[in-house]
Amino acid sequence: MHKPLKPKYHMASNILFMIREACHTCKSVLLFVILLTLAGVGINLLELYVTPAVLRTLEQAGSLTDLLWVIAAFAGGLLLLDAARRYLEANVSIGRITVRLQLVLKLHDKMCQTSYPHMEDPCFLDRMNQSMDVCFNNVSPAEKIWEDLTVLFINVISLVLWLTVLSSLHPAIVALTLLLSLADYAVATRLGRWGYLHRDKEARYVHQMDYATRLAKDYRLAKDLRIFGMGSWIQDMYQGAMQLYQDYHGKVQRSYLLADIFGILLSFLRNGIAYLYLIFLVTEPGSGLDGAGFVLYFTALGGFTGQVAQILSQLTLLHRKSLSLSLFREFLDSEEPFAFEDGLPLSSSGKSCELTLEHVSFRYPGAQEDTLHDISLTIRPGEKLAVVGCNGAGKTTLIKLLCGFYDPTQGKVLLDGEDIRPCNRRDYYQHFSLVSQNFSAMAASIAENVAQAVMPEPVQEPGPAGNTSYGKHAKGATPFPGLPSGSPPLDLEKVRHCIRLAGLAEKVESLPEGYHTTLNKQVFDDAAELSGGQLQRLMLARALYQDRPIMVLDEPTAALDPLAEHDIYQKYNELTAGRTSIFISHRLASTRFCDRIILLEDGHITETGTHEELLALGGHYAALFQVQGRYYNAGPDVHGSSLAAGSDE
Amino acid sequence: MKQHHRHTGPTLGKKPKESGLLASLLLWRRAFCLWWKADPRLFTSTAALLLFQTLSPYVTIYFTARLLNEITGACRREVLFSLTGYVLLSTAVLALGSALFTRRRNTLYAACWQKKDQFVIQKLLQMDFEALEQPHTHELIAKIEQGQNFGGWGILRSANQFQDLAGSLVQILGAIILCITLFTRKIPAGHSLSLLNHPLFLLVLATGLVGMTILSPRLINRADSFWSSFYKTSTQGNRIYMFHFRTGMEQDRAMDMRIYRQDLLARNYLGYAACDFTPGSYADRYWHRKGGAYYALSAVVSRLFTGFVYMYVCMKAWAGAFGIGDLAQYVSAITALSAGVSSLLYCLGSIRNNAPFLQTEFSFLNIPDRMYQGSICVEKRTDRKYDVEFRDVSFRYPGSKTYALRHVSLRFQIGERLAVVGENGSGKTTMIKLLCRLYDPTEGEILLNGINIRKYDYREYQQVFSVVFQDFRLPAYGLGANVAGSTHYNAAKARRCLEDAGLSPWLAGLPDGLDTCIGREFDENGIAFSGGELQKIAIARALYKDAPFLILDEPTAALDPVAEAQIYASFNTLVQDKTAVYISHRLSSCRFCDRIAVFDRGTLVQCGSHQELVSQTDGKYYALWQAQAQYYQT
Repeated sequence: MHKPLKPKYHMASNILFMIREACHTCKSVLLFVILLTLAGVGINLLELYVTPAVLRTLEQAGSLTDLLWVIAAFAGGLLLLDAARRYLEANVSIGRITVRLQLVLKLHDKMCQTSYPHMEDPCFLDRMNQSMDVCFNNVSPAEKIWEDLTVLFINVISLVLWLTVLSSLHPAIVALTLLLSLADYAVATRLGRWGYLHRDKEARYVHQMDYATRLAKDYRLAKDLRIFGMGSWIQDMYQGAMQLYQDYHGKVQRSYLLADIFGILLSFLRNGIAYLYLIFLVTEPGSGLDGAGFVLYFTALGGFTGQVAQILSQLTLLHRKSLSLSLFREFLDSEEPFAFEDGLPLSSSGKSCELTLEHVSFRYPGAQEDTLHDISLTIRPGEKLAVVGCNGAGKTTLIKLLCGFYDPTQGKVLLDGEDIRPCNRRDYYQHFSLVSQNFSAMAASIAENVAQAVMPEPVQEPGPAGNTSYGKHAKGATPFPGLPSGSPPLDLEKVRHCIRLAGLAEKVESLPEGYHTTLNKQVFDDAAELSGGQLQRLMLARALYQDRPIMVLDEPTAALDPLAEHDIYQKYNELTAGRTSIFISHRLASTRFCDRIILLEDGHITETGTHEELLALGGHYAALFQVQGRYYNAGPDVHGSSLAAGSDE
Repeated sequence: MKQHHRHTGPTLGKKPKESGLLASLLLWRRAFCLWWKADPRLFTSTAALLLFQTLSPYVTIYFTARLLNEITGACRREVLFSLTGYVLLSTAVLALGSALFTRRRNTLYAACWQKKDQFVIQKLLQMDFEALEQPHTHELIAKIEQGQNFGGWGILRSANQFQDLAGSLVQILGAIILCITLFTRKIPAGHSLSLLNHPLFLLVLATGLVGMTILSPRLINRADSFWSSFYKTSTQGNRIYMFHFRTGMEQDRAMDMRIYRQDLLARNYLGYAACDFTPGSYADRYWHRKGGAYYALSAVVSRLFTGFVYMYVCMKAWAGAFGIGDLAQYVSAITALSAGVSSLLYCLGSIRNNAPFLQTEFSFLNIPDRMYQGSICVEKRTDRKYDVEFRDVSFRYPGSKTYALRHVSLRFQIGERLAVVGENGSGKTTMIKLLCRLYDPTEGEILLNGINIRKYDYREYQQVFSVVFQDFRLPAYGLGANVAGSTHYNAAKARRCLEDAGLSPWLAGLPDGLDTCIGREFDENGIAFSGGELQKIAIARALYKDAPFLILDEPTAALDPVAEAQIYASFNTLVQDKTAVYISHRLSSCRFCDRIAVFDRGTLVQCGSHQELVSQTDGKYYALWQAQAQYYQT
């Protein structure tokens, strides 16, 4: 675990941060804090004085009407304040949740827009997870902090009032009570700290149990789980972590027990002193302390102790929350290795662009060796380039460098002769369309997935329980603050065209809701289930829609059957018309459609040329082609099984 | 504790009818029994704690009352000191007992949040696969999670409700003992207020007090029920929110996220789901404003009650029925009694509010396991002669109108290598799923050694197959454990399987050997294996099981030409004398299979050796073959 040595933002700064957030998002939160504080203090006061007031009336043998008035007054006051407080408490969540959700959005933006190398940095990912804890649920610091602040204010103000009440007592008593409270708190914190110090252990056990739970819920694992009987294995892992978790909590509670025992002793002492002193006063003639007074002072002393203890524990809680908030703010502040809006604008905005790698070497952070060695490559506008090589040769790394996901360790990446490093990286990304092997569909409609934009009008579906009624707000609700108006509107015609080009039109039109069908069954019950091949075509359609000058295709036909694959190859020219395309594939059959092929081996470009040239060269490319095509070319008289037993190069 | 807050959609729905109290109690009882079976100590420790916790305030009340009486009475110092001594000692002793049992109870309860998942996990792990794939199941699980994470509703709350129920009962008992004397002590006759002694007056008072005591928790429960109804209609928005938020964290998605600015699309959905919590939304109007009004009303009622009690007790004291110390005692006792009754009623109301959540959980737990009804043991044969046959099998996915398979009849020859080819969506993987009995056929039957597979014990039947699916998964645990599929395994055998799958040089280079973790989820030294390496590990897993049937679904899709050739070359070593089924788009693999089954739109159109099929130039196989082979023909 990477713990910061010292938080960058201290408690006051973090509280101010939250207050500023509330001012921007939902001022009612602050209003509620103030109102609740007033109500709380009022109730405390009334409850302190009610019994002594009644007792006094009785002791002084007042009239019945006096008695009834006293009771009515207090009851009435408490009634109003309590009702107000309950109402306020019930209404407080909306504003607090809104403020917290703003922080969630900020976190989301940071996570989605941060420089790519961060996403492969375990340290960064750790901090990301810790920042999530700040705002991810109803009991997280970002929401609970208001409650803590309210309680703190109530206690501080009450403390001041209690002190005025107790001012008529000997100051030594008050001072002693205060000292004992502080001692109690100090010891309790000390003894009870074990749990907090070791909370990363707890987090680890919880993580293991959560993971086992997630595995059980993972539908993709379900098949393997049943076939290989992995159920008991997962249960074992879960139980193992559970046992450790319980042991951990056993230890935590034992440390608290010690603190409890100490606390009991101290409160014995404290109450004893209070009692003795007050009894002494009460039995002393002429001290003016009657039964009512006894009750008042005793309750006040008890209340005073309570306030002190609560203030101290609130401060601890706030301090912890502040540490989390500091982590959160530091995470949001994380420096970006890439330039974004603060970088230079990219000067080239034309459709065709020339990409150059100039003496590029690259080593992954923490790696022992370079993955790419001194690559120099120029891709002309409109060129169709194929990149081939065995697993681990560096193909994916090369693509990442070309697309600007990593910066080279040595050398430069140039677009139309301009070094991309100081330029706005997001502008640079706009030049690329990517079809990778990870199918990154969103839980949205097919049209939205292709266009990466939301439907312009809400879809008024009377469907069951609003499953497909996305895009409409609840009646009368104000839209959530801060939504972007950034993305261009969805062009349904263009979506249709791209889907047709990718060969998915028949499937999409066979669905009951067509282009508005949602994907992802875990989010939408009526979502369509697309097979691997269909998803691959969808990703292709998405790349086509974006209409960008450079298209990168990483194994675009891996999940397709021979006929579909053939279809894609035939259309390849059409798909990449007018664009530069970079094509990674293991299927050496596909490379013949490209203008140029480069062979990567161990991070070097060893061979380059057209398909015919490389075959004629008779080098490694030719060898790979031969290996792959062997079974297609083998003579008809050879029997199947013996073929498999044959040797290969 | 990671509680995931789910945000709820704004869809307006009617409030569901509340379940009757009796039905709710029965549901609660079932939940209680589940917990009891899991760990009875939870409840025994709570019971012990309750005794201390509930009774200690009464001891304090009693002694302080005596103290106050003395102060306002004779005010003798020695008596006061001794009484103080009793108060302090009894408080300390009770506090000590309370602390001991609290800590004990907390230790046991700390894990409850995690333990509640156990019931769902156990069910998930053994459910019928078909039931798992139903959208209804997905929805149930999402609902259960939402209820749990939003307020600990469901089974978790049932555990806590035991404490509330028992605690309030004990509290009521203690309070009654303390305030019996309130009603028995009489105002001296002749006093103007001696009317208060009249039993009728007492009856009226008691009725009024009871009425108020009942009203307050009812109002609170009413307010809580808004949340309950809110939950029922709001799962959708939660699911949307959770998904879109997580997209930012997924490494696999990171490149596309930046290229396509998926965060903008996600933001729209996040904003939509979050709309529920802006002023004016459904939540605001019903749950908060209306609910808030009910909470306020309940506070008014309970304060009124306290006020009347106070008046009654004070009037009696004023009229001389008892001393001032007793006044404090009676007020505290009555307040405690009222609190106890309120708490009991609130708890019962909470049980009612929890009932819909429990119903959701139990409907999930009640999902029948149809597939476990068979009981025949699969005959153990060392000669691996398991004869499997599809007889006129048709299959339709649940909820789908189209048939994924139609009238498929296929007999798997023992020891044969069968290739299965066809276009995407032609039914190849569906056939495999039926073969492994992840689903049952809609029509027709599948036979093992002549007996319908439904008659076999499910787990026994699964022992016959090893499958490497196209979308296989390997949990982020140790390498060896992954190969074996269990915590304890034969290391030598695991190593051999990994080597057979083609991983020997690489395996030697791993510093932690078989303990290496797959991926960095739990171990910083874990290794993020490449797609090809993961595929080989999955193959090793299939080999370890050593089942008579070995099924490989696209095993070389992610492999480069050299690695693919290695798999082909080692095919004999992999398969040995097993019956092998090989699904692949790479038709080159058909060359070393004995027979090829060609699927087209759910039907088996051709079956035969490569030579036979490739000569049928108008057949599907020929079209597929040529589509691929043409690129390699020199």
